[in-house]
Amino acid sequence: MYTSSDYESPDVYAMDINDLLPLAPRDLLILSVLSQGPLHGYGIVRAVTERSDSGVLLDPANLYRVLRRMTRDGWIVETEDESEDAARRRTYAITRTGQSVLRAEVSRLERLLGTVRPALANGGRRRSK
Amino acid sequence: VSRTPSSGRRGEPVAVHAYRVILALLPKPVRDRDGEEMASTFSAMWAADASLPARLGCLARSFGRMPGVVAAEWWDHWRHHRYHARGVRGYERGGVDMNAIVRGVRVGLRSLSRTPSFTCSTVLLLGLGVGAVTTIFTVADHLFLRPLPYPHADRLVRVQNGSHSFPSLRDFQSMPSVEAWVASSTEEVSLTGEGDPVRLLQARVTEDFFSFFGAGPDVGRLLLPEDFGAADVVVLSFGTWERLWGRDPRVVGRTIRIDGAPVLVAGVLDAAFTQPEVMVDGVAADLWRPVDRSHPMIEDRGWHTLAVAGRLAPEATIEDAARDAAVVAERRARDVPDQYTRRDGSIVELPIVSLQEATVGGAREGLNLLLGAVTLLLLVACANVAHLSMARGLARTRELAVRRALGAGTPALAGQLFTESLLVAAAGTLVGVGMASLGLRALLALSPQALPRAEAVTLDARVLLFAAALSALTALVFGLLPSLRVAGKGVLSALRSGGRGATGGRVASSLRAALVTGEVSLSLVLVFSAGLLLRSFAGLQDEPLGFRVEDVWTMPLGLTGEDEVGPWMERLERLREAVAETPGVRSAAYGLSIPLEHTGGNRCCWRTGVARPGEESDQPTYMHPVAGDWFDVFEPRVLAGRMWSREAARAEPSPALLNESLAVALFGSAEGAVDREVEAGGAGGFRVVGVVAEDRHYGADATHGWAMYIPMEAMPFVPGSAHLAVRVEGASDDAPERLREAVWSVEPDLPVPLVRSMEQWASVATAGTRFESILFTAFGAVALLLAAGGLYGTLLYVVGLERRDMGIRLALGAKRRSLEARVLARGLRPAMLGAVFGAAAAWGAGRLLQNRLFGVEADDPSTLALAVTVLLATAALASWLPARRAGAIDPIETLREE
Repeated sequence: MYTSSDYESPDVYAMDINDLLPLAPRDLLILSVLSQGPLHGYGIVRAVTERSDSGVLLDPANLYRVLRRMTRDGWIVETEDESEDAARRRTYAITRTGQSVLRAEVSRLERLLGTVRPALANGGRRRSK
Repeated sequence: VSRTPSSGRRGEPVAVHAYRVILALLPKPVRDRDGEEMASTFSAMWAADASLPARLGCLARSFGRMPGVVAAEWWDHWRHHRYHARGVRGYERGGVDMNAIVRGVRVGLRSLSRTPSFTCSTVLLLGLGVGAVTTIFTVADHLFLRPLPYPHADRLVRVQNGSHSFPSLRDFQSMPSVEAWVASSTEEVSLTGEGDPVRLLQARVTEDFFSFFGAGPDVGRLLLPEDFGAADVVVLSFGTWERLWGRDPRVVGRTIRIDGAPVLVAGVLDAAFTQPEVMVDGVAADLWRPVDRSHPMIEDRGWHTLAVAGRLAPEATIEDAARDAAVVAERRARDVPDQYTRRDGSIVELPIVSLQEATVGGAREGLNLLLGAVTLLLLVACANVAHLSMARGLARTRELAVRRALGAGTPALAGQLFTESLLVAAAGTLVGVGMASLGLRALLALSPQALPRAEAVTLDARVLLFAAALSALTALVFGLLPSLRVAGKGVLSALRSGGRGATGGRVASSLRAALVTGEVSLSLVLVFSAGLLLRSFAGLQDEPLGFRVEDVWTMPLGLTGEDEVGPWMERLERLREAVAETPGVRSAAYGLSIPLEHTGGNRCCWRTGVARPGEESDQPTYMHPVAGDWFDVFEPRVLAGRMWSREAARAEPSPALLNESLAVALFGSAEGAVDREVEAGGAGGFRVVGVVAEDRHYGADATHGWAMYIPMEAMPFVPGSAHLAVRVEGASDDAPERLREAVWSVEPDLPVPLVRSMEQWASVATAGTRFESILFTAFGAVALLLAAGGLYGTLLYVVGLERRDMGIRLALGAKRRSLEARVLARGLRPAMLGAVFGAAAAWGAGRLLQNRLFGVEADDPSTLALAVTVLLATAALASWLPARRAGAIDPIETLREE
């Protein structure tokens, strides 16, 4: 009988969250700003610009392309914000999957930095001697 | 969900408006979903910072990145637009990924190797069908689709209506639409002084013959214009040079003796030269010599010896040439009416056909039939492939469902099935080409004489391409479609039901029944055709030939160098006596031609009008001059009168025997003809001494027509050859040796090329029918086997699927017999329907075979009934075995399996 291990398409391995990593800086930033609360499109642009110190500047077409992909992957969901004025704006909120992806990426980066820092520290000490 | 009202757009900044406009470049689903949001986000960005650098940056970013986004969105849209639209999770990453292809192939191979029986049978079925079609296609391709291997082959034509005379050739040269003419005649000659005397085929050709057909020399030179003066040079064909002189180049420049005269060997033809078959009678010319313009008959319009071919002028068409030929035919009929008008006043026309058509046209009908037959075979094989693929697709529903659940989209699954189909097709191509190579060898071995240009038929890249295309098409249409159909359906239900009970539903099961019906009807057509041809062949075998075949041996004798009948006959008579005295020989005779020597529409040798004295004959009679104990050798059935004795042969007037149809035509009855007198054009008066029954002189399937047997002494001319026939007693295995020795004891320089038994002649005469009946029988048998296999496999599969169901029924008290009957009916119902369709189709197919049949009607009901019976019996057997398995189900066990 058939077992899933016989199947080699990326779709199966996509079930392991580590296979989704590393994230593009843009994706990481979007997830991280959304992890602090739902935002609409322009809100995301502004938050990302601030958070990255103008290092990552988004344009609307690309932003919604990324948002659409994240929605499809279940990282974020669309919500309709009704609290504000008559012009309803679509807002995005992070999901639990999105949170896990974000956490996984952050811990991957931390692990990575953790392996690199001692080397930097050692090198620094040696040089200082 | 309502969007921002469009009224808000009025008065918005130009930049926002422009952004909105270029958003129109995005695919519609994307635009519909996010367009408004993008525009409002852009609007907010535009409004947020009014400083010039910020606005320039915003513009540059938003517009500058747009082309890339548009391209990416369209790319995704094109690949997966359905999933954007549906919002179903699908592939994200676009692009052609070589790794993915390699991976797909690996997955496909692994998946195929997991079901070896499916894979092997599909590949074999494909290979069988593709191989059969490819074999016949190869032959048809070489004969009909490829040009002959000569320069300007598309412009070469031939003048039909037998052979022509030299003055006729000059007439043809006046035709403006033909720029060049060549002609050749063929004769048998003896080569002596080079080991045993041998009989060779010599072609005499006109000046430009070799350049016309693009021939070059291998050694020495070909014919030069000056050679045509004395005509005492010869060019050897490569094969003859190899056979007789072992490719010894020193033979060039030497003098050899042909019919006793010295002839200089000028050169050897290139091995690559294929001689134009229609220009040379017989298999292959050994010697090529210039036409002999000093021949006394050269200016005689009645001396028809030349096969004539022409090359059209560059702009001319065959129709132009035909018009010109009609003009020539009319003119010469006016100028020389006694040569070119028939007795009924009609002129002898000059039909022009392309050289290709003249060469291979005769094989067209037969090959088309074979092509039709193998196509049917391919279709039956296709139906089986479809069966198998459906069954496999069903068996895999669970697997596919699991994959889908794990995230594989329909394109991924379809892609995998597609890859698997292509892999199967590739393997099928290999097997098919292998089979075609074997089949071609068998085909050519079976019947070289039934196929023109047989030596040129080989497998090549073109045929490979054909086989691959055919195989891929078959695999995709009959392999991929059924599995897709199954894969697309019932995936969820398969998961829910644990992949247990999927039968593909009502549609799949009626599709299966339709396939069985189709297979059975196709097979019936083949089986019926095979039956007709077999009966035809058997009929030919049983057909009384009208002469003795057993214990009769024959040999052609080419006595040359005599101008008078008297001395020529004396030499023949000495030969006959020598042969007759050989131990074991009971009687010996010779004649102008022997029965079955000329079959297939080629009637030799002497035809003239025979009539009552003072009357005109309105139909030519075949004249058969015979000598020796002819009637003891061949034992024709005498209807009236008697044979003439050897002494009476010299009587005045000469005795003659009529065959029945001539006797009835001239005198009303066989008895009435005896002792009457007849006149034969060019041979004088004869006294009829007896009448013999009609025989099959010109082939088992051809009536003789009017015929008259006369003594050789009464023959008014010396023919180029005669045929000796002896009747032996007892064992005759060494007859050829002994007969040859006897001939050589009298004429040491006489070649005796071919000693054959009459039985061999008879088998050659039915070779064409035998060839076709063997092929059709093979095709019919394979089709029957495939249909039976398809039916058997399907039912077995259904029984397997419904095991549990049947187990429950049994447990609930159903009778085993009724279960068996149900399965049997499931097989027989579509088979019977197929028999009905097939019978109708077979009736139509029989008409196509009409003129190849002998002694059996194309709609012969007993053959049809037999074919239907064979087919239904096979279907019953194929259904009964699975039915028994259904009856043998143990309910307890099936239920325990759950």
